[in-house]
This record gives sequence, structure tokens and C-alpha cells, in this order.
Amino acid sequence: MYVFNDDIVALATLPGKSALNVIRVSGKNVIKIYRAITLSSKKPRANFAHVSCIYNQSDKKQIDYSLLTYFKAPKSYTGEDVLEISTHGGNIIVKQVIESLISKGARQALPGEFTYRAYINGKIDLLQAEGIAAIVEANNNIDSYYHLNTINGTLTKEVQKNKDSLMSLMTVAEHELDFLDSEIEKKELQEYNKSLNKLYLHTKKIIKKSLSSEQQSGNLQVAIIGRPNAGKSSLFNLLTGHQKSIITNIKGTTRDPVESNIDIGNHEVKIIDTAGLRTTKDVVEIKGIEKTFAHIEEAQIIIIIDEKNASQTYLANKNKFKQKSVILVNNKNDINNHKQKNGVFSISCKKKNGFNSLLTHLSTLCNQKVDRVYKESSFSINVRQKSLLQKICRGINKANKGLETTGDLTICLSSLYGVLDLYNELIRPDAKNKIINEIFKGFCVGK
Amino acid sequence: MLENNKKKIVIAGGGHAGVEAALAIARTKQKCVLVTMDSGAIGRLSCNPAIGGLGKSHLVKEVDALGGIMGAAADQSSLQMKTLNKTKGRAVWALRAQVDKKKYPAFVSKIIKKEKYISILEGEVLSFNTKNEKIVSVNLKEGSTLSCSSLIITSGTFLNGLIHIGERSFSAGRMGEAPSRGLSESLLNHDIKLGRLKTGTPPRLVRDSINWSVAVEAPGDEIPSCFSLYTSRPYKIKQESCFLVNTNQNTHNIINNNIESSPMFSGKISGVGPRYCPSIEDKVFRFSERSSHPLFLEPEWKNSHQIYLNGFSTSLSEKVQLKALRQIEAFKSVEFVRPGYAIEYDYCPPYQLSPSLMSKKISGLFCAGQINGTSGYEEAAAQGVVAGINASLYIQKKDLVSFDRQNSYIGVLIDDLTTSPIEEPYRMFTSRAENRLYLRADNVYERLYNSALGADVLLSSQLRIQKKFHKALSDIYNKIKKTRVGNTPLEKFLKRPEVKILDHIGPNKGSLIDAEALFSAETSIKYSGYIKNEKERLLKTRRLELVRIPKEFDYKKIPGLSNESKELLITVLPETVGQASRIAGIRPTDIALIGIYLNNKFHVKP
Ligand SMILES: Cc1cc2nc3c(=O)[nH]c(=O)nc-3n(C[C@H](O)[C@H](O)[C@H](O)COP(=O)(O)OP(=O)(O)OC[C@H]3O[C@@H](n4cnc5c(N)ncnc54)[C@H](O)[C@@H]3O)c2cc1C
Ligand SMILES: Nc1nc2c(ncn2[C@@H]2O[C@H](COP(=O)(O)OP(=O)(O)OP(=O)(O)O)[C@@H](O)[C@H]2O)c(=O)[nH]1
Ligand SMILES: [Mg+2]
Repeated sequence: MYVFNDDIVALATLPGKSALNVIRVSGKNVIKIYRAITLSSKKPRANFAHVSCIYNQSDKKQIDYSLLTYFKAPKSYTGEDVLEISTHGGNIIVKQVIESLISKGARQALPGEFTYRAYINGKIDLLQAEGIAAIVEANNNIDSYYHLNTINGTLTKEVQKNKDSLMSLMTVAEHELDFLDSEIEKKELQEYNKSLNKLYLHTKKIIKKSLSSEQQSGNLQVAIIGRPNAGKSSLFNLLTGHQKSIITNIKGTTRDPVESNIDIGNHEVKIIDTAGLRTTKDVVEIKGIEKTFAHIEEAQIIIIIDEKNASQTYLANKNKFKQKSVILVNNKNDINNHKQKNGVFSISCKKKNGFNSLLTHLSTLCNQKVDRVYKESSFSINVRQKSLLQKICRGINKANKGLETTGDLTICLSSLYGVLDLYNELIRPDAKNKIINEIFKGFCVGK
Repeated sequence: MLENNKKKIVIAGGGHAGVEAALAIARTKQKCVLVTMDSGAIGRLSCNPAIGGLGKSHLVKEVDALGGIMGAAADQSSLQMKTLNKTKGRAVWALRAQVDKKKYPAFVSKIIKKEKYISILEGEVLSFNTKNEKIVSVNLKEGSTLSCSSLIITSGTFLNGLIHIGERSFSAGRMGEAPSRGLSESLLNHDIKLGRLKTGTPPRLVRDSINWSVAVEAPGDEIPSCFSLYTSRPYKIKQESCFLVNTNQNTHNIINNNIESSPMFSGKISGVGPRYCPSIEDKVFRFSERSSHPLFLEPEWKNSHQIYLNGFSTSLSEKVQLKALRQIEAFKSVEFVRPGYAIEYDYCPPYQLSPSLMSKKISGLFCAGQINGTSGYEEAAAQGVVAGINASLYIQKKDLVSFDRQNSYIGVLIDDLTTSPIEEPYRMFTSRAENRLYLRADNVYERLYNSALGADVLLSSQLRIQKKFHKALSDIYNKIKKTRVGNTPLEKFLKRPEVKILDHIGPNKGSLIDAEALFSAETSIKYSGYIKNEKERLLKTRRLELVRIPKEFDYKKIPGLSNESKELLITVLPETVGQASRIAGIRPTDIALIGIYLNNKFHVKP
């Protein structure tokens, strides 16, 4: 578990060759540390960049000429005093600077510790904290775009908006229970039903607009399928530029799927070579074919390759390709007589005939797919967040049903408090008594 | 004799808190002296002639379940009984009694005076003395000293009370009664913090000056119910009516034009008033879009010539009050018996008390009622019972008790008081409870039975009646278990909203307690699914409730805890992690930190 009373240090940029590196320190003794490493008696000015030498603490030798920015608590990333040191590139400088910081009492931060402190100090809410954790791990640029949306609070705002409308609905209901009808204006039960329904749909929409983490296991997937010997492995090797997959003229060569990541269009795409589809008694091959079908399910783009008649393979397995983009390719046009027509490509892996036109088509398709995701989803959510949002939907539904069948506001509210708990689990919780306070703010009450 | 005195409890104040405290002590067979400034004013209703109402009736019922007197006194002096919120869920149904302000205190006085363990002393407690931070005696105004080992302060609105009517202000505890001056100083001297609050009361009108023909009648229930289980059934009273009139734009204009004559608006009153019971000037000012507000005309006692004008609480000058009211048709030539007024008083911020209502600083000192920042007779009575029970336990050197907020509104009340800063006079609302579906009036004798037995506060006659009720209930549950409707067990069948228990099980002939038990059983069954969900949801808090924070716990040493949170926790000194979590301003992450630290240092697992 994290400890909080000490100073932590870590390299904030990626280790490796770069022009600059940023080292971050956070804690209570940041000023003391600043003075020690710069050998200066002056306090750093808040939110100001200072150019100074950093000295080795044992022999007082110069390590680097750096830029030091001091952020005064609570106006910093962590909410504590923070020092950001931009050093010149190179691992050795970084290593020496961190060593001298540690000799002054700072300690190497644990993964996520800066963010955790930011959360503890109320700088970010849980959704944002999770967004930051995700961006650090994001392995492609689409993901980081969505995580950014989480971090800058777009998701929080959206969820908060829903939570707020729930709260105000509950406030009206509580108000109705706490005061006499003669003192207040009543809401019809159908109005509650309507509002709850609206809230339900909104929440559904958030889930729909979100890219959930299981969806974002990263890259777009392209599966190459077809009958044995169609030339799947040949196409795979051609696309990836390596002789990774074994090619023979024996049917059923490929058993285990072979995968490789390549850049197509603007994105990294995963290409999968699969076992050829046919009816067989070979147990190993049957397992391989099962895997092929699994890959078809996961992939967004399917290339069906055949020696002459890719459409036939397509038609034979039509129900497997719902909601997939399919590219039909007839291979070996050096020895077989076919031409590109009706959108079916005609190529030769051996001679590379028609390959460029296939490649262009594939990269356009990949770009389109990614852009669609951009357009349709606004943020990313992890499994925890998604399941909470789903629970919220169910809770709202239950409250609504309860109200419909019993007409009893207390029953409906009892379920809604459960929903509110879920919201509180999702984002920074509200202080108790908020509803009661709202009652007084918004209504004319009292005898 | 001296030995005896040492074990004595003194109660300062004979209002609703003081009375219930005295009775609770007497029932446990301990001695107490009820010191009050006017022995003729014991149990007086300072403001409105009503007991119960939304949120509050639940408290009256709970006091009744603990052997208190409020419910019975209201039943005996009621002019009108009405169940409010009847169109809403049963958990929020609330009984309200319009009571006779003369009969109510007379009934209470009679009972108090009969109790041999209670002695009444007319006088004023000026100060108290301590030894090793323990109460040892109190000094009375006339100069004598009473030795005692416990003191319960129930001084109501009397501590440095200051009445305001327009620009005029004068010292008083209530209209016509002197304030209490010394006690505040004594509290301050013992390092106990005080604050200031205010409340208001509407004018009393001369009955014959009202044109009743244009007022709308507001009758009571056709079949009146009563609060107390101990009141004999069938409960019969002659229901009197209240009447309703509405303010109009002219009334509002006059108030608006003279708003600076209200000391609250001119900043003369420093105390904070309740938002839920705003003065008429407050309503007109804050809700200027409303062209009218309802006013209720309530009799103060049977055939009383003075009428309480519910809804017109004010501290405007008498002249303006009159002028504004005379704009209303029914009040064209209205006259006052007494104008409305506001009163400011000292209160003792209750975070300084533990959930037993005993001071955290001074052993043996208890505070109950309005002095703890609450408002209302019912809130005062509820605290009185708790302070009484605990003062009795204290002098017997037994462990003090507290009430669980998941089991009673009394628990909600005291937990709220001891964990959250008071921002305005506190009154009960059902929305303050987390498990409202369970905290109902109809199951109160089940919820609090164990507490009542544990504290031993029931008279033998009360215990007998409670037992009878429980017997009726268990008979009903047995019958339900045996009954089927078609193939469906009755218990399951009853969960359908439209099904009524009476269509399947009739009450024993003539037994009215049976009918009430049937209602309770039906409600419990209908709500059972939802109550189970509520319980599950609250399990997490339940768990935190069980984690005690050791006395020697040092918040300053918790790494990562913000200074503001540390300060809050050190002021309140919560006894459990659950309590800590409810302190306004404490965040869940703070609780997580406390948990980690408790686990590391004290090996307590939250
Ligand atoms: C003007 C006014 C308006 C109010 N308006 C409302 C309202 O709108 N709604 C509402 O719910 N409640 C209202 N109340 C509050 C309600 O009356 C109280 O909440 C309730 O009565 C408090 O009960 P208590 O036992 O704490 O004190 P009280 O009933 O006030 O009793 C206090 C008793 O203590 C005695 N006493 C005080 N000091 C000493 C001392 N030093 N020594 C000995 N005896 C002492 C007094 O003589 C008195 O008998 C109002 C009260 C007043 C005065
Ligand atoms: N003439 C000609 N031969 C080709 C072409 N493409 C592939 N072949 C040959 O076809 C045979 C099968 O090729 P693979 O790529 O192994 O076919 P596969 O679909 O992966 O087969 P399995 O893994 O067994 O299902 C090999 O002998 C290839 O050399 C082509 O365009 N023209
Ligand atoms: Mg192959």
C-alpha cells in the first residue's frame, strides 16, 4: 500500500534516447530538496521555471544544466508541492539526478503513485485516475485518444450530468414526502416514470458511446481464411514482408494461427493466418479449424482467399460474417484464369499481380474502420466502469417498475438510493445531506 | 443521606426533554430532582398546539415504545387527529395531533408529580461544579448548592434568550418567561463551546375578530387514530376542525415594503434560523414568484378565544404584521392576542457529546433538547429519554447505551447531531434515514423492544400491553404461515400490491390491538423484499459501524490525511469508523486512510 508522508520521485518521460527527460518529485520537502540539489539558499518561485545546475550530493560535482519548475501545493498535479526537472537527454544524467534526489530523502515512486496522491488530495476523481492509468498502458493512438477524453473529464461530466438529474428527481420526491401537499406543488407519478425512463436511456447511451476495454484490446484484426492450399500463408507472408508462415503444397499445412502486427494505412493492424477450412478427420486440423472460426469472430476484417472461387467459401459460411468487412480474393491468376470483377480481387501471390490494388483497398478499409470508432464512441471505459453503468441501468429500471406497480414513492426512492451509491462508486462521492440541502435551496417549504 | 445525594441526578429544565428524562430515570428506580424555573410550566408547549406530523410522529412513537409520556399525553389532550401523507407510502404516514395546550401540560404534570423518584424544585440552575472533570454539584439561583453526580441540561430556548418583535428586543426565555443567564457562562468556563440559533412563532389571533365564513374547513380523520399503544381502545375523541386561508399579493407587498423592520433582514439577529420553517418574510422574499401561501387557523385549546396562525411565523413589527394580515378577506378586522416574535438563544453544538448524549469532556453532564440545536417538542422528548436512560446508567456505574441509526429515528437524530455541525435548528425528516422502509411507525414496538427491556424503562402496565401486541403479531405470522391462496403461500401472495391481509385473516373479534398488529404484519410483508435490499446496501456501512476507534488514536499521525480532515476528526472524536464516515466534510478516501492506519497500528480490520 502507498505511504503518504514522504517525497517520491520518478522519471516522468519514457526511458531511452530523447532530447529531454522530465523527472518529477512530489511531497512535503520539495523546497528543501530543491535547495540541496541546486546548492542554492533561495526558495523557488511557485509556477516558475528556474534554470540551474544540479549537483551531485557526494562530491558536489555538476551533473546537468536543467530547467526546474516548482508547483506549490495544492496547485499541482498531485496536490502536494511538486518539482519538475527537465534534464538533457541520456540515461546517465537521469540516473545521477535521481540518485542525488534520493540521497536527499526522496524515494522512487511506485507505479501510479503520483496519480494516487492526486486522487487522495481531491485533484482528480476516480474515473480520471483510471483514465490516467489506462493511458500509461495504452498501446496505440486510438486508445490514448479516448483515455484523454476520460482524463480531461468528459466522461465524468457526462456521468455527473446523469447523476445530477437523478439527484434532482430524488430531491423532488423527498420533498414531496417531507412536506404536506398543501405546502408544495406535487409531481404526477407518470412524470417520475418519464424522467426515470429518460435517465435510463441516457445511461444506456453512455455505455453505447464508450469503447469498453475488452473492445479496445488494441489493434484492428484482419483474418485470412480460405480452403487449404488457397495461398493464405503466401498472402500473409506477402503482407507482413517476412517468411513467418510455412508454405508448402500440402493441404492443411497451417494448423495453429500465425499472427503479426504490421502498419497499414495510418494504423497498426494485426494480421492472422489461419488453418484452411475443410472437412477433415485429422484431430489436430479440426482444432485448428475451430480456432479459425474463433478468429473470424474476433476480427473486424476477413480476407477470404481461394484459388478460383472465393465467393463460394463466402456463401458456405455466410452467417459467420455478419457485421464484418469481407474482402474476396481469387489467387494464383498466373496459373488460373480469372480477372478482378464484381469486387472480387484477382491476384497472384507468386507474381504479385494485383497485390497493390488489394493493399490499397485493405488500407482504406482499415482507416475507415478506425474513423468509425472515433465517430461513434466518445470515451473509453474499463470493465469496472462498464459494469457499474450497467448496474445503474438495471437499478433505474427496477425503481421505475417499483413505482409503476406499487405507486409508492418510498419504494421507488429506496431503489434510487441504491443507484446513487453506484454513481458514488463511479465518481467522487457527494457529501451526505446533499439532497436535504437541495430541498431547501429549491423549494418554498414550511408551515 | 449524603451517600444518597451523591447518586442523585439533577435535571435543569421541565420542558419536553426534561420531563421524558425524569420519567426514564424514575422508571429505572433512580432519584432525580427536576429543577425548573416555573413549576406551573412543566411540559408547556412553547409554540404550536400540535404533536407529531411528518417525520416527527415517528419520534413520538419511538418515545412511546421506550415508555415515554409524549404519545399518551397527546392522545389525552387531542382536539383533532389526522394521518398525514396517506396518499403516499406507509413508511411516511404520519399522525398529527392538534392538542389542547392547557390539557397537555396538566396531564404531564400530574404524572410527574405522582412519581416518587422525581422531586420537583422550582428554581434556576445557575452553574455546575466539577471535580476531576466529573459533575459534583449544581448551584441554584437562590444561593443553595445541590450535590449530585449527574446533571442533564434541558434548557430549551432559555439560555440568554432574546426576543425580537420588529425593532424591539428584550431578554426572555419564552414570551412572558424570564431567560436563564448563568448556565451559558458555566458551560463556557468548562471549555464547552456555545453557538447561537433562532426560531420564530406566529401571532395568536382573537377568535371573534376572524371572519370564519370565508375560511376553508380542514377536518380531522373520520376515524381518529392515537399515538400510544397504552391508550385504551377504541380511541374516541370529538374531532374539531382547523381552517385554511391564503395570503395574497397585497399581503406580500406590505411585507416587502417593510422587510427592513424584520430584525432578521436588518442583520440584528445573529443566530441562524431554520430553513424548513421559514418566517413569512423569508417566504415572500425568497419565493417572490408565488402569489400566495397557505395559513392554518388552529385552536390552542378547547373553545379557546385565541387562534394559532400556523404559517405566519414572523419577527416583523406588530404594526406591519397586522397590516399585512388585514389584506386577507378573513382577517379584515383581525386583532392580536399576541404578535408573532422571533427568539434567539444559546445552544451547545452537540458534536461535543457522545452518542449517549453525555459530554465528552465532563463525565455526568448530559444535554438534551433544544440546547443541542434541535427544534421541536418531539426531537426534544426523544433526546430526553436517551439522556435519562444514560444518566441513570451512569450513576449506577453501568455502561452507557446508544441507539443505532439503522434501527430508529432516535438513532438517526443523535447520530446526525453528534457527527454533523448544526447549520440551522435540526428537525426530523424521514429522508434523513437511510432505511426508511424499515423505520416505520407500525413496527416500532418490534424495533425498540429490546432497547426498552435492556434499559428497563417500561412500567409493568406498559410491558404487559407491549407483550400482548407481540403475542398478537406472532399469532398472525403463524396464521400466515399456515394459509395458502390456491397454491401460493399467503406470505408470497401478500406481496402483490393489490392484496389485502384482511381478506384472508380477520382480527380476533373485538380486539383492536389485533387490527393494528395485522396492519403491521401486512406492511412488513409487503415491504420485506425492499427492506432486504436496503439492508444489503447498508451492510457496508454496518461493517464500518462495528469498527471502534481507540481513544488513544492519533489522527495527526495518519499520513496523507489533509489538515482540514484532521481538524474535523479531532473536534468530533468519532467513536467508530462509521461515525467518522458521516462527519460532513470527511471524504471516503479519508476513511480509507483511517482504515489502513487502524489496521497497521492497532490491527483492527475495517
Ligand atoms: C418562540 C418559539 C418558537 C418555536 N417555534 C417552533 C417551531 O416552529 N417548530 C418547532 O418544532 N418548535 C418550535 N419551538 C421549539 C419547541 O418549543 C422546542 O423545540 C421544544 O419545546 C424544546 O423542548 P426542550 O425540552 O428542549 O425545552 P423547552 O420546552 O423550551 O423547556 C425548557 C425548560 O427549561 C427551563 N429552564 C431553562 N433554563 C433553566 C435553568 N437554568 N434552570 C432551571 N430550569 C431551566 C424552562 O423554564 C423550561 O421549562 C419554538 C419555541 C419557541 C420558544
Ligand atoms: N502458382 C501459384 N502458386 C501459388 C500462389 N500462391 C500460393 N501458391 C502455392 O500454393 C501452395 C499452397 O500455398 P499456402 O500459402 O501454403 O496455402 P495455404 O492456404 O496457407 O494452405 P494451408 O495452410 O495448407 O491451408 C504452395 O505450394 C504455394 O507455393 C500463386 O499465386 N501462384
Ligand atoms: Mg497455410
